[in-house]
Amino acid sequence: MKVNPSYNLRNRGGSLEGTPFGSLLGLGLSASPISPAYLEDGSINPTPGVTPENYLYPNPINVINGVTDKRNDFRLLSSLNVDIRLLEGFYLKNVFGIDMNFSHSRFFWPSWAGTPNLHAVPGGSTAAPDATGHSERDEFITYLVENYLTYTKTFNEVHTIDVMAGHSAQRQDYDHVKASGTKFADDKIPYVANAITGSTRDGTAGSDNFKYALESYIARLNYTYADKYYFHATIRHDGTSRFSKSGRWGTFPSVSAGWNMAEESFMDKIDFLNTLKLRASYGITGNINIRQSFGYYPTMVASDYYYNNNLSVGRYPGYVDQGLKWEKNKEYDIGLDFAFLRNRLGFTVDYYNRRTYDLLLDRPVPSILGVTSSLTNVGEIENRGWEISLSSINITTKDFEWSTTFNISFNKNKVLKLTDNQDPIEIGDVYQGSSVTEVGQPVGMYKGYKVNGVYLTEEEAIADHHHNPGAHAGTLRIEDMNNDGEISSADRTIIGNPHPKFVYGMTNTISYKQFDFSMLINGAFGNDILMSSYEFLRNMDGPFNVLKEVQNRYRSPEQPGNGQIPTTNYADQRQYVRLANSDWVKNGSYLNISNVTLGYTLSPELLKKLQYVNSARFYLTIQNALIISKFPINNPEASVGGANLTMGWQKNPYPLTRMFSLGTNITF
Amino acid sequence: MKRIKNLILYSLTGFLFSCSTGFLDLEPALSLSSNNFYESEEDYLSTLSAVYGGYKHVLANFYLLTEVRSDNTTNQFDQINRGGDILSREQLDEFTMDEMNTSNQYWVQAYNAIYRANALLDLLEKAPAHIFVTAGLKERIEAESKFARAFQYFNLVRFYGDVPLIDKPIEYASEAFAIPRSPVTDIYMLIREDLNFAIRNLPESYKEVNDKGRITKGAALTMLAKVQMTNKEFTGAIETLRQITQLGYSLQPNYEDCFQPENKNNSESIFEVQYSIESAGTNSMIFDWLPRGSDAWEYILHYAGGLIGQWNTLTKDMIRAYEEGDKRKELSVGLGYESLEGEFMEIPYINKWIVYSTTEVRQNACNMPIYRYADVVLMLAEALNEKGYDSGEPFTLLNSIRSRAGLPGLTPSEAPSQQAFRLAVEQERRVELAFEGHRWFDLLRTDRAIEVMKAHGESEKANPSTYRPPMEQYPAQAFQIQPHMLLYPVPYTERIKNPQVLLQNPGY
Repeated sequence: MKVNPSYNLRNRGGSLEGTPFGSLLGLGLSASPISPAYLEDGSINPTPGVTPENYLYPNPINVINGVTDKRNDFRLLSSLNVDIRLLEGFYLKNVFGIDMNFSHSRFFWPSWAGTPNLHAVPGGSTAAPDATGHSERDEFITYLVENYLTYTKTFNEVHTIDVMAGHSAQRQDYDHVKASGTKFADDKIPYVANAITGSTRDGTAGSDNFKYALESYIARLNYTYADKYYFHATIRHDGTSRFSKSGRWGTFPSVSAGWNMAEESFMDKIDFLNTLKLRASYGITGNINIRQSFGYYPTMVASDYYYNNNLSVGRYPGYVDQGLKWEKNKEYDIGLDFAFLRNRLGFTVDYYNRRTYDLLLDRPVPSILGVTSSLTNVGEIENRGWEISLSSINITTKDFEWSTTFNISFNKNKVLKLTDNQDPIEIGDVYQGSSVTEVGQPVGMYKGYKVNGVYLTEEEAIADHHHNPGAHAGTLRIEDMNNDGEISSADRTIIGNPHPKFVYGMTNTISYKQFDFSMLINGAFGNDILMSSYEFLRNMDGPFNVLKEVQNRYRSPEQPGNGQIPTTNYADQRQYVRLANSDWVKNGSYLNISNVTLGYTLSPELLKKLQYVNSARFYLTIQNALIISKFPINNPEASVGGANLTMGWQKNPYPLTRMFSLGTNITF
Repeated sequence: MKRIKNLILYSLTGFLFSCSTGFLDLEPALSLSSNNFYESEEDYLSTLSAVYGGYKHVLANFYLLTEVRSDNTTNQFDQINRGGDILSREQLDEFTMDEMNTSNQYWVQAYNAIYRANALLDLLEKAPAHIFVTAGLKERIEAESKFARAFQYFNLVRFYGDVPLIDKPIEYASEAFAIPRSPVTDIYMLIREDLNFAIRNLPESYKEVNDKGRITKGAALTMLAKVQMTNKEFTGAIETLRQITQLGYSLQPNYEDCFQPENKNNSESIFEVQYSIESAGTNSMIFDWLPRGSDAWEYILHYAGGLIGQWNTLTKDMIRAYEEGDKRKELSVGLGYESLEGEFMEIPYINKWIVYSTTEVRQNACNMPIYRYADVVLMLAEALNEKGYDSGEPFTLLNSIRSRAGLPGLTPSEAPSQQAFRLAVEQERRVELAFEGHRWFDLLRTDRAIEVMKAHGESEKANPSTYRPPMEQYPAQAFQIQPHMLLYPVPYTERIKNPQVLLQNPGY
């Protein structure tokens, strides 16, 4: 029986996810540098806005100091294994598991920190906004019961067979309660109770509860012949509570085979080769990784109405696609493993091709359905490529050993099919940029205007008037992609690719007597990042702080600036600098020395002196020691990722932090 | 051996339990699902209330597309904030819209309202026989839902032309991608079917106080009359309008009686979208129509505010439209506000409803009138005139509205021809029904839109209604109105989901 408890505490200083600035960092970048953070008397300037009517945002210092955002997580993971021997080699194995997660979070935004509602702000409002806060508790419990029969037998010393057939059932219960205060009496008591009682206060409460179940039947066969030939087959039949009966069950088989040629007699003479294994596999797996438990169940949507001042609670059934089913992956893989020189040098290379179809995506749907987006099964995506890894024990002596592993993978991603009409899925807009997923291209390519510097003289601009009649000296040169004689939204095109050409990693481990040292490097190369934050950081219309490069804008033919930032004249042309365009696409390649660890283990002689201690090791770790990249703002690794169709947008995420930690492992 | 047998049994109980049928049949405990929600009449009535919620859902965009588009209102020019939404509204006002314009999202919201009605109609069809015990209730609910559906389609067809015809909920999302736009004639057939059902099955009025504000027979007849007027079926319109005059409606003694929250759902009211004093039901949309800036809010509302709404600002044209002595002018129009420094800022705003706001922030209980009896009176005058010039009844009808406004009656010598009377009615409708979502539709159905809006464009360019700095005058293409612009473009956000099937209107 195993029991694993863990406890986590987290304290954040008021994130601003979901607002146009993206984060506190984004707020700080966009805030006016002219307004002081502190007033003359030394007190904090509560609302350092630009003009009284626009964008009165809170002072970031107030947000950091004043906002409470804490969360505690307690987790208990425990399992009980019961193996019953029925006959020789024939067992009934059972697993009973429980995974309990309890979390509590508390949030409080005091009135003096300014209004958290950034976007549309009361002009010059001197009234302090109300404090807001909430308290949430979550309970998430997973129960697992697995029963399976296994049989293992070796015949004639060379044939080994291993068979398994079984059943697994899993159930997850989630319960959530949240109390929010939207009108606190004052800032003195930062708990929701201070917003609940009393006539001027306002609070709400909410709760959520869902259950989810997964049931599977599994059968597996493993056959090995004399460490030379390997064969494996599995079949699964999985059913989920998340879909309606029509799509609930899915069947997923897979097979694989391997041949260790080095064990063959004809290879005996080549004795520098310890392993030469050829592998191949083919399989279908299912995926159901969606957030909503009841993606298929029409849940009721609230919409109240008052008839002649009398409230009538209104509810209508929300839209849900009745045809939802399992998402499937079909994958084949061929690989080769080499090991040389008494296993000191190893090399593996794999080629894979994985086709995902019936993807479960929350995708935009025609509004005639009653909603603008819905979870559906749509399309086919292909991922294929190479994975190569090298491992070598470079030096090994009595006291000193140095080994290295290196891996690199190249992946090509392509959309093969979308819906029957093959129409692209575009998410985003002309302002912050959009990601478009279309057939024949990788998923989530960036879309925007294509620009190429500014016109340096009026003559240059006039020469282009048949493409952009509004062009002048100093305005952006924008591609008229459809050649229709004017610049419009129809001229937006593919401007970047969020997928890296390859990703790589390298680990170097050195040990000398009682010391150990390891360094882990990882990186990506060739991916683009879309600077969505430029919607504000390059907004030359006036209300926001802008990047320093704007000082280098075009002023006249004698002062062309850096030739990339346009003149502030001609508002209709100037706007293009803050509409997503090709200049917003930056190289996101990076190399991150992600972990450097130095450790010291107590020698056996020392340990003899300490009676109860079996072993002891002390270590120092630096995480994210150094990141090398050409990326202009923040950290590229923080930008990669995001939802499957909109990856790689940079909207002022917090940069990766370098962390130093000291630790010790002691066993008794 | 026994111990092992027991151990096996215990181990397998989990297996047997999970193997039971129903292990995977879980229902959401909290969110009600429609599978177990509908157990009594009240539950269907609850969904009907959500159908009514659809009116509120579309209303802000409704006024944007009917008032700002017309020569009644415009946007308060914002030289600092040139963001997408603001630019889109300006282009709407100036007839320089392209496909990417974001101010024509009425489409999206209307189909959500239509979805609600279709869902309820589908549920009514499938309702078990024992549910409806009150006589006539099921038909009445069906009629109220069909009216809601007809309301949305009537607007959609006048804004966009051909639109997809959806008359029941779509089960499989993939099917929606194949549905094209249906011709206008098909949509009108559905509208008329729905209205005829509604007329037959709706009461003339509701006795219960808690039901006042629901759709009545009169509302359905009024919409039918508008459908007929739009399609120039004047004989039919006269017949329909006469039916309405028999239902007991009457003009309120004073113009302001029509808008006071204490007097909602009165004798002149045919259909009002309902709001209330409670914060969940408050009419906060109208606050976006005030001038921008805290000074304005302080002056008009006596508290600080000033959100970036600033659309539906009156045009100079609109203010000039009121005749000397017209009581409605002062009630409808706020001419401007005084800044904190005491300077008078000439940014006019709609006064009719905002004046009833409370001291709570953004709280107002005014209902928004969609159909008033005054509208019926004027439509009847207009329809009679279309059958042939008559110096009798049409003038009486027209003058009943004018006298309430404190204006002298129009005499036949002042409007001696059919065309002159037409213009007189047009003018009266403009000031009587100002800002109630009629102007653009009236101009469209009388084929006067291009002429009137071109003239309006000239006057705006010569003398803009709100301050525009020297570098930011109206662009050259503003108000260059071509016939294709009488329809709005289908929203780009809809078309990119389905460009092969959802075709765009010509010219965009």
